Amino acid sequence: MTREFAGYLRKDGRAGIRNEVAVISAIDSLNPVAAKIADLVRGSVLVTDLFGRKMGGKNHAIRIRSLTGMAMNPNVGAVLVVSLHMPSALSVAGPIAESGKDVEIVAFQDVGSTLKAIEQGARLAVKLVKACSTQRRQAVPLACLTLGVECGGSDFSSGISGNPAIGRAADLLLDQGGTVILSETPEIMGAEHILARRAVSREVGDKLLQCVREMEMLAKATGFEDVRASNPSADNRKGGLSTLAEKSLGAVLKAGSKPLQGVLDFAERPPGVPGFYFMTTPAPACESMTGLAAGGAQVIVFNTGLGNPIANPIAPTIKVTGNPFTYAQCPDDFDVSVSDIISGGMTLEAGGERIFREMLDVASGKKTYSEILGITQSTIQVLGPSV
Amino acid sequence: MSSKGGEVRVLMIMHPADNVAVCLRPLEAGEIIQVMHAGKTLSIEARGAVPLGHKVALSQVARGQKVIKYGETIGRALKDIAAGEHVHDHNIADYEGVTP
Repeated sequence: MTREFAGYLRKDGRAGIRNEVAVISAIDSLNPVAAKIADLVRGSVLVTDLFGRKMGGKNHAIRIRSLTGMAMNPNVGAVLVVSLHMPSALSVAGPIAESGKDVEIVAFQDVGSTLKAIEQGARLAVKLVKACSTQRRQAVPLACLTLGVECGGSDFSSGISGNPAIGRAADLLLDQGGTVILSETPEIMGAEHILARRAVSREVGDKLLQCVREMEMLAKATGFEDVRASNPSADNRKGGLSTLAEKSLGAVLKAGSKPLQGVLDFAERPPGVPGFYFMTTPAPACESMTGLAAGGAQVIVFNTGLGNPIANPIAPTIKVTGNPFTYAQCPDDFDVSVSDIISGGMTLEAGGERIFREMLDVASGKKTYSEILGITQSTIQVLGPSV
Repeated sequence: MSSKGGEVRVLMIMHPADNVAVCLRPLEAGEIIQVMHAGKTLSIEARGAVPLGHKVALSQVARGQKVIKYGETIGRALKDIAAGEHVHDHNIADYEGVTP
């Protein structure tokens, strides 16, 4: 099996599967300006968040780590930071510049008008795209690849076709020295003890259990009902899921079967040792994928039983379904179907190989449907209100 | 987990240690399904209708015993479950909630 993909080698030794200029809005009030700039400049990609002012403590730290993490993802060739004023621009652009990546700034209050900010931003972005476009793809070992695994719109098929097939693909990548990140803390509840047993050390296992406890406390403090009592949901039960452990085991399958190497905070990059990691994130797909991309995942494989169109702007998102009815209804939403596992006698191994091959193709430049259609959104986890 | 000679698979067993299988189409009461499990051909007679995506017992599971899917314990039997019986929240519950 191929051990390489054609990627963009970066100064820090990591490799991108895309080479775009990220137009990052550092503050919600400049999101529309950043969007206009990204609209004008081909070869750029928009990164926004709906918050950004007057957030404190850990909330603020997560936000900066997420924005800078997405900018430092090796899929990004250079960065334009758009903000209201220079200090807020520098809080994001500073760490990016320190990483050695080319970064330019548009500070609205220094430029003086909306149209001038759009004009200046577009000029800077054009220059960055021009410079980036001289980079060529070259053969890069698969060990440079970090895969994020995601599922949404889960149904009866998720745990028996899509997720276990993605797990086979994840194992193939891990065998090549690559990295796989599983996320969505609420989705592992009920199976956390089983996952903790796969940890490489007691410390890692304990950290995983701690993540789950913290997410449960956060849920209770936010006014949610008990996750353990309200799951599986009525829909889940109708689809045949009987217990929380069964539901969560089906979700965890998509990360493969290898030892758990470490537990990451939201948007935290794995510490250099390849292997399987868990990242603590909320369950909604946009937030989860933002955490994965900021943590350095160059590609995401997203299983959906019932359908869910969203993708990450930085990490191309391969849509997979294992539900034959869903696939028949909307084949042009899925980059890979493994629905023959249910309807045509396809083995999980064959499904895993199909996903793995698509992942290699996408890593080398093949476009995903969501990339072509631009169905992307970044959203950063919020731990508390802005004031 | 493999199907023979291109036959349409009816039951899917996720792990050799499992004592339940997932129905890939609805089962009617009295239907007899052959399935390969841990190297042997099992003949399972559905003891009632089982909806698509739901589980059926591959062997008898006594009250309090573990229900195994994915090679892991997903719950315990709330009552004796016969081979071929529909396995769901009416006769199993989360591991921790049941006294054996």
